[in-house]
Amino acid sequence: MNYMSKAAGDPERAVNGLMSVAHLLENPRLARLYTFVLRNGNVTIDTIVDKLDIPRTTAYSDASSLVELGVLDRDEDQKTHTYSAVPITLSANLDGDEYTVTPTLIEAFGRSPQDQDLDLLIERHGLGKLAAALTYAIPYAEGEMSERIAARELDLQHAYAVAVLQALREVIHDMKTVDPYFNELRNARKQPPTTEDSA
Amino acid sequence: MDELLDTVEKQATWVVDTGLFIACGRQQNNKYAALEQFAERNTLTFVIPQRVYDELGGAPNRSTPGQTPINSAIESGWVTVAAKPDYTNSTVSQVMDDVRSFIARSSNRNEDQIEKADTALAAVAVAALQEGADYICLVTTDIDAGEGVVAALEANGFANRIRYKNGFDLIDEIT
Repeated sequence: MNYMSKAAGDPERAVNGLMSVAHLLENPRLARLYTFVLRNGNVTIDTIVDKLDIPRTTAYSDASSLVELGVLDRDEDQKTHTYSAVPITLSANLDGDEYTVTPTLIEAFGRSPQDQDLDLLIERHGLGKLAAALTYAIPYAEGEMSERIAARELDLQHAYAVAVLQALREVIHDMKTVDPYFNELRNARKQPPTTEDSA
Repeated sequence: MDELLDTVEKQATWVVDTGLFIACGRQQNNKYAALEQFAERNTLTFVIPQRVYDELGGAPNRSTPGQTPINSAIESGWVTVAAKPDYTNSTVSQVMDDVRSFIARSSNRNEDQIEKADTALAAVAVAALQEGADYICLVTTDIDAGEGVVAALEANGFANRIRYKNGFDLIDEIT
């Protein structure tokens, strides 16, 4: 896909990018493959099959889907094709409520089928709650926000909220140095809740 | 495993936070058995505030904490729920106030957003020391709480009587 290389400000590129990110955030298997390639650099289908433990046909078709979406590049110069990831970031602003999606959120979503705590969160509360939880997990993982405050403001049963924070702490540890847009992720420490409903 | 602990730690009272039990359950092949063995080999009992026990109850069944065998751990005797601290004791209340201030500062929140119950670990630690414990090992996955409790106790006459162990590190060490 060539829209990734078009000039900034191009509406076609922006909307296509939006659709690509939305697609990744609907399919955890594609999300997992995308961040796997991002973390590992140039990888072959053999590596994907081996490390992600998925059937070869699935690896081929998923990798092709991601190339079509413009989030993976396929290098066909050599006999064995290799894939590399295009780092993506998407800022959404809905009537003033703003959030930036980066590969870290995509990784968290991609892990959900293998992580019962994240899976349950998305099933019960939706992807938005996962994004919100990530804003708390970032200061929590750094020791900049206490576990209890983060859990209370997340407004989930306490121990369950802690489990979600711990799951996302693992995601953050794996993605912090890999996600080039990590610092653009919202950090809940900076924004105390404005209402009194956190108590 | 025993050589993991120094003499002080072996003789200490171990006060343990909610997150350690959850972190054990989140590991592949959950690590409760390893935690229990660690307690038994070192003849330790993990003391938890009532608050921690309450927090562990009522999690969704399909979540990690919904499967935490805290009740069987208490029945087996390697976990015990602390008696309610005396909140009218001036040292207990001063330490709790100090922990609240510490957590508010480090988490960028107002003190009125920190609940009194958030400081239960500190209260239980002080009570244990006042009742004759030589030393406290506090295990928590909450870095803020761990640092806050140690700082508050040290500022209130318990210097060199407490240390904080990161719960994630402890799990790595015992498995």
